[in-house]
Amino acid sequence: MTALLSVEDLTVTTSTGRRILDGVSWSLDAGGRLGVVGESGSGKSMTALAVLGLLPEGMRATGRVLLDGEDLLTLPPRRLAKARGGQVAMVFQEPLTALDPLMTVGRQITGPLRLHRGLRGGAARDEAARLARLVHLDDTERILGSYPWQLSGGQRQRVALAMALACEPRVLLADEPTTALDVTVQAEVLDLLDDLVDRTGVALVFVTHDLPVVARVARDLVVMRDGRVVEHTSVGAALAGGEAAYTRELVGAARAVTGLPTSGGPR
Amino acid sequence: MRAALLRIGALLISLVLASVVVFVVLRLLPGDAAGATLGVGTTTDQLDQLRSELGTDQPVVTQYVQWLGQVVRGDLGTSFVSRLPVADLITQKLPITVPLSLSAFVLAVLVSVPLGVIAAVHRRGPVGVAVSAVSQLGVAVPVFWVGVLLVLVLALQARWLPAGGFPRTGWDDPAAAVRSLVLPVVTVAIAMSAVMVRYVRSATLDVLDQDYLRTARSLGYGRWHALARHGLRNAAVPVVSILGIELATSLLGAVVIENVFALPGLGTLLLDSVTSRDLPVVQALVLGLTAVVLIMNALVDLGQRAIDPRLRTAEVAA
Repeated sequence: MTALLSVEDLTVTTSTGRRILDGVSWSLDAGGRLGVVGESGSGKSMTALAVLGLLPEGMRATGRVLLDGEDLLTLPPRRLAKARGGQVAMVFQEPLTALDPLMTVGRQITGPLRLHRGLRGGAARDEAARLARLVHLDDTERILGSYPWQLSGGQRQRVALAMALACEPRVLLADEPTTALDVTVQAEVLDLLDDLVDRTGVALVFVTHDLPVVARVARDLVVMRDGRVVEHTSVGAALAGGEAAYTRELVGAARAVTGLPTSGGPR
Repeated sequence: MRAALLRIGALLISLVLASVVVFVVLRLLPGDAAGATLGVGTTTDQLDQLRSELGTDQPVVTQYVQWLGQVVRGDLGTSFVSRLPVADLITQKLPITVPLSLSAFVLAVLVSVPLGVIAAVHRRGPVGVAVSAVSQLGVAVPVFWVGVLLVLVLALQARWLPAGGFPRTGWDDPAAAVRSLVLPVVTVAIAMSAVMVRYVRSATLDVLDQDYLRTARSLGYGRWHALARHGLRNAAVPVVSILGIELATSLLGAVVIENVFALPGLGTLLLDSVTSRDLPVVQALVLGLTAVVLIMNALVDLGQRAIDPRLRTAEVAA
């Protein structure tokens, strides 16, 4: 079986020639759940941005990012824009700044519906309401009419999830989606994400520095350090003691602080 | 609604304070209308007689109360010099100054908003750098100097446009009137655009760095589409406040530039009246200009509130 999304020898260079990512490779099967872990500065978020071609100005990516055999890095801008949102969508770390403060949540969700699926007017509003219920935003009417800053952090991240899932992408990139949230809300959003992946069949790439979090939602694991992949393995194998010394170090450190299970994967 | 009423209340208080300042400061100036009118070598009796005719022998407070009472009823008083109603003097000049400043403002907005956005989007490219450099130059150069330069090149050398003056028949000959306003309008617009481009650029740069633009891009919006959908409205909040101030600036710029182009507008009237110590005219003009600036500021506040719902909510909470 060929991979749905495979990253091959991805290298990102800044305008001053510094390598932020160096030969990163991993792959994700349809319906797969991949965790990308590493400390801050390891290049894990940069990997997700590079996949979507949304690197900060001045940075250049080389290598290949194959979605269904098509290289996103060399896709013409129009086709790439179609793939963004439609094939690969992303949820960011800070849901407050990721949403436009001057636009109601409803309009922000119907935007991509119109852009990719041509839905407008009542049809778009109905679909937005369905998506809001999908992410358990139960007071749907009120929330769709609100501005992002009128909602709680958890509600905002649910809105971001609804936007990302609006066009039924095949891959969802989640970049530290629970880091900015309170611990209790974190657990709720993780459960929701887990459930959404099961129900929609979207393949998940979950980027985090938090090993216990990734152990809850991911099946496979990529461990990154200093812009390189240290190890590409399964969550279970990593928790049982990974091959690379750095992986064992991370697991040990996480276990010392929290009750990290000895075997992992989604329940 | 309550916010709007509060803002209008604040505006009225500012206007009254401004009227006190204008009135008192003008009376602290050395020299008076009687002296300026009669010239050197007049007797004290003659001066006193003229002063009592003009009412300038009364205490300042009495004069102020009298004047304010008239202004509120719409009577701006009578010129010390020409003995014509001040309101008539001002109304005669409006057909020159108002079109001049409004067209300069509109031209400046049409030039600076697109240029500022382009300069921000291409901040590191040659176009962005060029726009920034030219606007910096424009800010550094005084407005009257630009006017003189334009007169030298376009009027005196190329002879495309008149170097100054306004048709004696006014707007009866629209083509001639427009031709005589082109250079002054361009001059004021250049000075204003230079400032506004920089504000629009920095407001747009702010927005370009926002996460919500990246979110929009990640959902499939192109760069310009994302900017149009999310950026313009967000950038408009700071830009609107600048536009309000700049509209007032365009009026003041018109007042200055009229002298360079020998246009018989409000600016020329103001300068002449100051020279002859014609206080009723000067204070009416200064108060009028101040009122325009204050009213613009109030409108800007209300406009921002209309654009940004957060400002409305903050008010309710406070």
